[in-house]
This record gives sequence, C-alpha cells and structure tokens, in this order.
Amino acid sequence: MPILSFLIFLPVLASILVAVLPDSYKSQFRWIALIVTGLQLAGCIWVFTNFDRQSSDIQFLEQQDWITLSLGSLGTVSIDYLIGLDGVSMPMALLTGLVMFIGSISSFEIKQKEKAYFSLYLLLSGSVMGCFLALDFFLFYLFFEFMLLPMYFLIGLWGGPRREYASLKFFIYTLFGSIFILIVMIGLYFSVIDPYETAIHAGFIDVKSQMTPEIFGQIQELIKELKIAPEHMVHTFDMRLMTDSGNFLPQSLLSYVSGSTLFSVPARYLAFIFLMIGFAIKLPAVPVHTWLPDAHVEAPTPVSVVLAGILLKIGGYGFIRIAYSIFPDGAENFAVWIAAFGVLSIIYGAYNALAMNDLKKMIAYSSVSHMGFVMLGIASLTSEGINAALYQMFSHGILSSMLFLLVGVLYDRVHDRRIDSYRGLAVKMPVFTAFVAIAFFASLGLPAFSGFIGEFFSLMGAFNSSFLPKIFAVLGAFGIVLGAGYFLWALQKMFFGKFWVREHEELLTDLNFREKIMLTPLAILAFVFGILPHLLFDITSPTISEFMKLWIK
Amino acid sequence: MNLATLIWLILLTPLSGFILSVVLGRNYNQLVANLTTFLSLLNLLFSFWLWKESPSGSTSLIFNWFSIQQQAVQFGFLINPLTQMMLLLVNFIALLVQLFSMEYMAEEPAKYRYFGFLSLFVFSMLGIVLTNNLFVMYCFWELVGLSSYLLIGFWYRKPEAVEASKKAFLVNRVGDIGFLLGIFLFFYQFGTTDFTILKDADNGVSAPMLTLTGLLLFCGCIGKSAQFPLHTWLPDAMEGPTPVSALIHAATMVAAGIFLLARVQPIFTADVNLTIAVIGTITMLLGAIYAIFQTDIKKVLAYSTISQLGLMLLGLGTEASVFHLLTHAFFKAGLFLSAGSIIHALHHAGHGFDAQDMRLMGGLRKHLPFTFVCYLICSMALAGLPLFSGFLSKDAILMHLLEKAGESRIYFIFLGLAFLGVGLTAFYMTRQIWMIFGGTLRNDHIASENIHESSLKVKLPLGILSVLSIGFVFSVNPLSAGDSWFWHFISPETGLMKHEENHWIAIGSVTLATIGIAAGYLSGKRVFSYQIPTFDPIYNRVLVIPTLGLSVLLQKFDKEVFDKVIDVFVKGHVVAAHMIAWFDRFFVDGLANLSAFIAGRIGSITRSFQGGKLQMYVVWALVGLMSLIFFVISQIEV
Repeated sequence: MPILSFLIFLPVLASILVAVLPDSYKSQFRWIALIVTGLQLAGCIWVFTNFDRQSSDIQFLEQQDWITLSLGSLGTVSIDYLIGLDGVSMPMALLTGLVMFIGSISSFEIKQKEKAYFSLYLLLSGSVMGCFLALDFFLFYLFFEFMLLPMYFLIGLWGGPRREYASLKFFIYTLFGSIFILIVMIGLYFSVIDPYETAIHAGFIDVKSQMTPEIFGQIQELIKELKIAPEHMVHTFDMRLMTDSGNFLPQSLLSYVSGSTLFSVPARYLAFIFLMIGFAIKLPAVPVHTWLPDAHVEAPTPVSVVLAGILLKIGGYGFIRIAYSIFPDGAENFAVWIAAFGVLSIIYGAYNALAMNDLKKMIAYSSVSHMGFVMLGIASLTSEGINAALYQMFSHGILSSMLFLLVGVLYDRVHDRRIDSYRGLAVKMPVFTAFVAIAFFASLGLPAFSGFIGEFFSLMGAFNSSFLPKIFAVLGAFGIVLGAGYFLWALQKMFFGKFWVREHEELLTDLNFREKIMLTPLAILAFVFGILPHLLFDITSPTISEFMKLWIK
Repeated sequence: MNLATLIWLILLTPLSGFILSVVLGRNYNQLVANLTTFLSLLNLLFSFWLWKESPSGSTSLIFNWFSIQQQAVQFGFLINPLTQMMLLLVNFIALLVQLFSMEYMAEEPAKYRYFGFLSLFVFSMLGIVLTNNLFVMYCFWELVGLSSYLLIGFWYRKPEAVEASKKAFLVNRVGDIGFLLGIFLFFYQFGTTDFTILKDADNGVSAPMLTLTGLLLFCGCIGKSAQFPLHTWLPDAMEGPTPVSALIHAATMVAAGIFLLARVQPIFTADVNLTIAVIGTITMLLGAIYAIFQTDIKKVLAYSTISQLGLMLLGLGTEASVFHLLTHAFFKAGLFLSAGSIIHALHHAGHGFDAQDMRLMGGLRKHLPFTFVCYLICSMALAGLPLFSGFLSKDAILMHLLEKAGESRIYFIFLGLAFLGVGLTAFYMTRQIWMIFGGTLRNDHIASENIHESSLKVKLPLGILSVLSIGFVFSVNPLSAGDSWFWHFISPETGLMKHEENHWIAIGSVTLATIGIAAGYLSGKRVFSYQIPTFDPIYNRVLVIPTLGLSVLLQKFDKEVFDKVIDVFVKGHVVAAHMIAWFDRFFVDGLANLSAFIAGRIGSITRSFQGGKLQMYVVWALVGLMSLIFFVISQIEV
C-alpha cells in the first residue's frame, strides 16, 4: 500500500466526505475528524517504526509522472508526484500526525458551523502532511499554498473578535513570503536538468532502472558541455536532483559556474536569500514575526495548536530541505547573518514574552524565542546544531501544543486570558496547575524534558561552529535565563499566592476528562523525548551526516 | 550484586520514592511519608554496601545514552572515595531530615508532596554525585534547582515563599549559564565532557583557554553555592520549611558547588585559583558580617552557611574543602534542625507572633534543654573550637592556605582574612546563642511553661548530628587535623593530609575564636537594630528593573514600529492600489471615454448632415459617391 499517499489523501477524502454529507450528520463530523486523524497518526507511527534507521536514503518513495509537457526547443517540463521520507521529514510527519490528532480532540469544543470547520481542518491536515512529504518542489509549493486556504478560514471564521484582521494578516504575510519561494522555484526549474529523463529522451537508456553511474557521469558531462540537443533536455522540479551541482545547466541563472548576478549580487546568493525570507516568515523570525501573536490570539484553541505545533515547523523544515540543500554556498556565506537573526529572535522574543499580560501572547512570543534556537542551530552548520534544530522543532511542537491547550482550558471557562486576572489558581485547579508547571518547566529547558536537548545542542553547535563567532552562543544562552524569567513569573502571578479571580469564579473547575486525555500524552511525550533523545537522533543523524557532506569540499 | 546494579539502585530508589508520592497522592499522606523515609534508610544501606563492595581507588562505569552522528553522549558513573563520601552523607542527612519532618510537618495537609519533592531532590543530588560527565551533571544540576524551587515554594499560598523560590531558580540560572558555556568550552577543547580524563593532565590546551574554562565552570559554583555576587537567593530561601533548609540549603545542595570544584579541580590554573580565593574570601566575610545583624534565627544560619561556603572555596576544591564540607554538613544540619525544633516548640506554645524572631526568644535553655545542648555543640563546631569537628577542618583549610602562601605571597592576605572570618563566626554564634537561650523569655504571646521539647523523631536526628560534630568522631586526637581518618578515606594511596601541620595555625584560630566569643558574650545583651543594606535593591535597580523596562520597551517597539512598518507597507500597497484604480478610472477609462466623447462629438457634427431631408441625402450620397470614384480612379496606376 502506498502508505504516504494514504497519509496525505485520507484526510483530503474525508474532508470532501464531510463537505458533501448533509447537515443532519452534524454531530458525527467531529468523530469523523477524530477517526481520520487517528488513522493518520497510526500510519505515521507505523512508518516511524518501520523506518530504516541506518539509511540516509529517501524511504517509502512514491513516484508518478504527473505533468509532462514537451515545449520543443525549450525542452520538456516534467513535474512528478514525488513523495518520500528521510530523516528530516520523518520527525515532522510524526509530529503532524500527533498534533493533528490532539487538535481534533480539542476541536470537540467547536460548536458552530461544524461542517465547514471539520472539512477545512481535514483539508489542512492533508496539505500539511503533503508539504512535509513532497520531494518535488512544485508539489511542495502546491501543498504549501494549499495550506493557506483552510488556515485563513479557520482563523477568519472561528476566531476571536479581531479575527478578520488576524487572518488577513496571516494570509498576506505568508503569501508575500511564498512569492519569493515561487520566484526561486521558477529560477531553479530553468536551471536544473533531470539526467535520468534526459538520458531517456536522448536515447541513452530506455527506462530509468538501466541507469548506471557511468551513464550518469556521461550525461552530466554532456550537460556541462551543452552537447545535448535542447529538445532532449528534461527540466525538473525534483529536489533531490537540485542538490547536485552537476545537474545545473552551466549557463543558467542559478548554476554554480555561470557566475550570473542580479542587481550586482550573485544570483545564487539572491535566490538563497529569497528562500530564507520566504521560510523565515513562516518560522517566524524577527523582524517578520508580527503576524504570529495576532494570529494566535484570535485563532480558536485547536487552530492555535496546529499553527504553533506544525505550521511554524514548515519554516525550519524549508530551511533544511530546500534553502540549505540546494544552496549550500549561500548557507555558508550568510551563516553569520542567519545566526544573528536567530539570536535576535531568541532574545527579542523572550523580552516581548516578559512584557505580555495576555497569556496566549506570551506563549506566542515564547514560540518566536524557541524558533530562534532552530535558526541558530541550523546556521551553525554543525551536525549537532542541525540535529538539535530538528529536535527543537519536534519538541516545540509537543510543548507549544500543550501550552496552547492549557491556555484554551482557561479561556473556555472564563473567556479571559489576562495574566493579572488570576491569582492562586493552584488552590482551585491543582491538576491544571500541575500540567501548567510541567509544560512551563519543560519549555524553559529543564533537563529530563525534550526542550532541553534541543536548546542545549543547538547552542553547543553554535559554540563549536567554525562559521560563527562564540558570542552568539553566549547571547543565546542568555535567552535561557529570560525564558525561565517569563515562565516562572507567569507561574507565580497566576497560580500561586491567595486565590483571586477577576470574575466568574464559579466557572473555574479543574480539568475535565477530555482535557486530561489531550494533555497527558503530550506531557508523557515531552518527558520521553527528554530522556530518550536517541528516539529522534537515530532517525535524523544518518540523513544529516549525508547532508553535512554538502559543506565538505 | 554487581557494581552497576547497585549504583543504579542507589540512584533510582529516591526516584521511585518521588513516583510513589505522585501516584499515591493526598489520600495516602502518612504512607508516603513512611515509605519515602524507609526508602532513604534502604538507600543508606545500599550506599554502605557500595562502600564495602567497591574496589578501592576510582572506578568508572560508562553507558551510551544516545549519540548524535558519531558523537556518543555517555551516561557514566564515577565511583571514588569522594563519591562514596557524598553518597553516605546525602543519604544519611536525608534520612535524618525525613525523620525530623515526620513530626515537624505532621499537620501539613499535603505531606505527600513534601516527601515526594524531598525524594526528587535526593535523586537529583545523587545524580550530581555519581556522574563522571559534565553534561549529565548539568542535567542533574538543573533538577536540583527544580527541587529546590519546589521545596522553597512548598507553601505556595505564601507570596514571600513563591517570590523566594522564583528568585532562587533565576539566580541559579544566571550562574548556570556560565556553567553551560564552561561545558561547551570544555567540550570544544577536550572533545568530551567526561571529566575523568583530567587526571592525565597536560592535554596541550593553552593556559588562557584553561583559565577561561575554569572560570566559566566556577560560575556554576557561584550560583549553586550562593557565592558573592549571586549569594542573595539563599537568605530568602529560608521561606521554605526548616528541615528543607537543613538538608538542601545547608548540608547538601549548596555544597554541590564545592563538589563541582573538587571534581574539576585539576584544570584550575593559578589565575582560576586566585579568583576562587578572592570570591571565597569576600563571601566569607560578607556572610559573617550580615549574620551579625540578623534577627531571624534562620537568616543568621543562612548567612553563616554562605560564609562557611566561602571558607570552603578558600580550600580551592582540595581535600581540605571536602573535609570542611563533610563536617559542616553535620553541624549546620544540626543547627538548622535545632532551629526547627525551637520554631516547632514555639509554634505549639502559642500563635500570633513570628516564631523565628530571636528578639521574641530568650531563656529557652530552661524549656528546651536538649535542643540547647545540641545547639551549643553544633555552634562550637561551627566556631571552630578545639575538640569539635569544625576545628579540624578549618585548620586543614588554613594550613592549605599557608602552604599556598609559600607559592604565592598573596595567599597570606587570604589567610589573614580567614582568621578574621573565624573570629566573626565565633562572635555571631555566641550572640545568637545568647539571644535564644540566655536571659529570660521576651515574648508576651506565650506562657513559658507551654514550651516543651518535641518527640523523639525530632530529638533523635538532633542528637545524632550533635554527636557527629564532636572532634573525636573524626580524629582520635581531636587537636590535630592531620590525624583524622578522613585523609585515609579520601585518598587511600597516601592516607595523609597533604599539608604540613603547623601549630601556630591552630593556636591562632583558637585565639581568634575565643576573642570572638568574648566579644559576642559582652555584646550579647544588645540587639543590633541596625540593618545593613542587602544587594537586592541594587540588583533590582541594575538588573531586574532595566530588564523589565527593556521588555516593555521592546514590546512597544514591536507594536509601534515593526507592526506599523508592516502596516504602512501594506497600506502603501492599498494606496497604490487606489491610485492605480484612479488612474484606471480617469486615465485608461478616460481615454476610452475621450474616444467615446470624440466619437460623440463627431457624431453630432455629422448628425447635422443628416437633417432628415431627402434631397440633402441624395446630395451627400452623390458627393460621397463622386469622391469614392475619384479616389479609386486616382489609385489606379496605368
């Protein structure tokens, strides 16, 4: 069974099913969503357990010719339906399955326009999964854009009072970023040749399986010398082929050797910067982060969970999968800048979180701060740094989901998220307080929880990096103190001391069964991944060590 | 049982205590208390067993924890005499404190939480003690910080306690940043975080780098051992329950910094040693001076702990430091538990006053004779009087300093100041004993006959700790530090104190202690109302307020600038869109309109040609036809 297609299209089909079912099935939609995301999670776990931990190759590969268009002397367009998993996408896919499932439990709270909500939610689930699995740039871009639509409506229709503003802001930001990605994608398309298809078109081989290393080298040599007739050239969006400098047409805009410049900047550097801007908006990095607090504050709880838990990770994933893989030269050249923005995000996000009176905003800014560690780790160009960046993304997915669910608990009861509206909640809601304490301590990087591993090793990577000055690691470490500051401060103000609430004291009850069901697994996972880091490192390491070879000359 | 199993048992027994408390919960309060105390006893026995079983010298057991690429991160144990000593010490004091707590916390409704947190603390502390690796040590180091946070803030309804717990955690984190960076630098140079490699010194690392590494690691010690300038959290930490103060904030956790120094001491260069000595001296004097002016019984002891930790630093992490760590753990835990006994007794005698305020005490020797004797013995040990344990270890440190002074003259200054510290210690302790036990009761809220000793659960730990503060326990000749069995224990190879005995040191320190006692006795009846300003307001003004201010500023910046810029950018587009729309309407459309208009005008002009008169039509038709014919003809080229 094509398991990965199942992961993507099961929710999409379910989404259509929910959309066409009559409204009389209204009460069943949440169960459909729960079951479908549950199946998706089960599929992810199956893939996770069957993933070959020794291999750095793409696994569970599915390839289908999708669009092939002959353009005569302009060559042939080839867009493939190409999905697969390696050590970079595996943790993200698992995270997607997990967070989507938890989010669908949380969605039981949704009490209006259920049909549209669950249909969009399932659509989102499929397109996010597709985004992490796609290996064809065009396909990736398609899923990437497709995510925007359900997200826009989920915030815009079920959000808080300023939902239209927030959803539009989110939409414009991401769309703005994706234009940069689109430009680079088109540039890459014109620059990269698929040697396999080209060999077939030029008559060297009949099917791809006949390809031998000799023929491959021969083809690349011919491409380099421009000895293949243009009509035999097959252009491709295959990202695996884009990492090989031998597949670039020598005179093309983005080839290593052409030395072409745009606005007197080398074109490859410019393309790298474009990609980084596009993905940094998604991450988000300071200074393009201002959509995040607004989107979070207005989004309903499950959408916040999905947004923080998964969507932000597409930014970091895009860094590694696309920007760094295809433009290693740019990555090396701009390492200091990227790390600087990472450190800026860490410190700036933490300071902003410290000033927030809205609990949800505080957590949103803490996300900015935590994603800064991801940027710093990636920028270090060390294996521990990049592994840790992936770890940090996975860990943040778990922890931020937990944090937003916890805010949701309070908001659902009293509709007030202000920190100064509560005091001494521990007296009235001890179980809730225990979960908050776990989530807060895990988020501030306490050892034995997953966040620590990510932060520690990304800082260590930054410290050991030969590309970065040591001061970045020092400043990043300073962010850890600030992190402890805002979390403990919130804990002190809201949960300890004498009990007092601004209003609706009678509505404050401790966690109900459904909430415990959502929070307990997340707490356990944060703990498990804190003491058993090899669960993820074993998966990411082989791929990253292969990836690191891009910088060995 | 093999060694590894035994070590794992020692490490995991307290953890199982914590898990039990979480699982059993509030309904089994007493059961949890009994079980965790029993587990502590069991763990003490395990530690004894380990001590008997394990080969002499040091043993390392290493397990792979996980690996990133080829870089394996290991989880290893290092068993050497220092480890053995700490295992026994931590487990032993934990057991006594738990026993004491059964009575002290008897009326507490959330006992399970208290005993669970204590177990969590013991687990984390044993982790620090057992590991051979800085990375793993850092993990447990933070967990110790967590358990300290949880225990200081145990009474979470009390705002002061919550504030103190937060402060303790944050101040410790500041020191831990240095520790963290020290670990990075250590790894950067040695390619591992295993500190047992340090024995084969001379790794070809440059001296400045080693100095920097040493200083950064020392930052961890400054935080955890409450050294200047990060000492301010410890006095506040007294908001926690008193047995917790005895275990964590006197005997064990704060000693973790000294333990760290002892572990990584081989990499310390002369510059690092000098820095440690300077910080230690400042802290020792500062703590002693602050202790003089306190009126809260526990705060005196807290500042005294800070001061004594400073003295341990003066031993520069050598065996002398460790010796003082050991003796101090007993007598300071004894003092804290005695203070707990006093507070407990006063609490039960009446309400409506601060049971920790020494100004409301006095004359307690008659009502609490047992506690008085224990307090006296432990105080004499603290003051370093002959025949008591503190005398031996203090002399060891002073002799170490004298030996150091042979290498570098500047250590004479430290030696001199250490003597001063000895005098001050004797001074404030005499005053404290006088205030608590001397004279008559100065408290109107309670009748003195209501004050009585607590049960055996309180008395037994006090008694044991007092006995262990007597010099004979450590040396058959309690006047000579060099004769102690401690040296055989800690370094079996040589079995000797590394420093020359010097009787002048002993005589000098005793003289100063005596002067201190005399001065303390003479001034004992006067309560100093003077309060020396603490560092807190300064830190508040220099660090906390600017940090919060900056955060508010950055938040405004975020809202007013970043968001506005984006807003303007987007609005710019909207304006541009409107302009284009205008252009479209007036210019593009205008062109179309213009052409339509022109066409209209032309139409109306030509309309006049069509007057509706048939004759005119015919005329115009003719004219038109003629013109056409002319045109066509003119085009024909012959």
